[in-house]
Amino acid sequence: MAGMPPGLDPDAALMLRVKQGDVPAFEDLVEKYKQPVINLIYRTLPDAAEAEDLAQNVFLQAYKAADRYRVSAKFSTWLFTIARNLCLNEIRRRSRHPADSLDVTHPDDDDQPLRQYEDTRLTAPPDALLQGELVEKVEQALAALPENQRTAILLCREEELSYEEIAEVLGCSLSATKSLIHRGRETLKQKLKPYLRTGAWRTAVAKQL
Amino acid sequence: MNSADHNEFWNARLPQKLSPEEEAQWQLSMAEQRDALAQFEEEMGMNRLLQHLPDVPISSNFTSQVMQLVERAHQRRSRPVVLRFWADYIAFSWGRKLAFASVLALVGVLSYQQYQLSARRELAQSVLRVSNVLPGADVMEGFSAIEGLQRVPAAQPEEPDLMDALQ
Repeated sequence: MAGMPPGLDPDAALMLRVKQGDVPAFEDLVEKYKQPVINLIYRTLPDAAEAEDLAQNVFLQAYKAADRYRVSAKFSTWLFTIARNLCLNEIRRRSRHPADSLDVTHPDDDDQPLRQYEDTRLTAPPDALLQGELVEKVEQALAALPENQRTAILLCREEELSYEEIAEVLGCSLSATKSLIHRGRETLKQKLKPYLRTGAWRTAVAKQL
Repeated sequence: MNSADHNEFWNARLPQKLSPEEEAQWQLSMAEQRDALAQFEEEMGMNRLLQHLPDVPISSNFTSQVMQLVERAHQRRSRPVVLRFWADYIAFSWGRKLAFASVLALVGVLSYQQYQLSARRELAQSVLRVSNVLPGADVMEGFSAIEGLQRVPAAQPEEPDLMDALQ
């Protein structure tokens, strides 16, 4: 496209087009980042329906803020910053208005909980149980981390983000970010030691591939 | 390669038997390597577990839903500011509409009260100005007598004798 600096990041180029009014260009960005964004949000606010709503809101806010997007900022860094800020807002909102307890019963049937989740452990084939249990352990260990450590570790999974970019999303220094990641990983290793030492993760990973 | 394989590999390649001191050094070195290997295994395992966390399920129409929201936002931006305001107002929840209407009502009530106060003040000032030009109260005392005269029945038919006497 005319006027684009050479060697520009493809995502930044798309965002520049969006800034200039090319709304369909935004669709490519949504397609590329919807999974990473929802992965981050779901592991911060473990509610699938709300995570998807919030993820949609992330992209909507990114579109509305297109005028403020600077080419010098990597699009993924900018997007994850918006996602994290919306997650933090939601956490604060929930602390002021606690969500329904999982123990609340369905209005039409007192024997049923308000929200039901399928327990895949009961129906999954035996080989998949180890994988499912290990994944659950990892998810639980992640959920138990402080928000900033968890976010730092989850952003590490995104190969596009460097430590400097993760620091930018978290709004802290590079050394603080490395410290968060280190402490988070140490805590996870302690909790998952039985699985790491026995090599159970090898089976789980092999099944994933 | 795990630590047992590692031991076997190096033992098979040592050129000569070790002295007790060398053997102890060797064992210490292997123990340190084993610890290092174990730590390396843990780190690698941790990395692999995090990398292979399953993706969260996402609706198949997620992108189209987002683009619908984006289109709506884009159309709203294109509207004139006044229409945008009313469109936003109509989109408000009932709570917000009620709050907005309450504020308007409060402003209306306060304005009316101010108007009433101002009108009374003006009236009071008018009364004061009129009372300054009116005669004093003592005149008003005789007013009741004057008013009483008005209750006197209509003038009697003329009495020529009285008229003559008066002349």
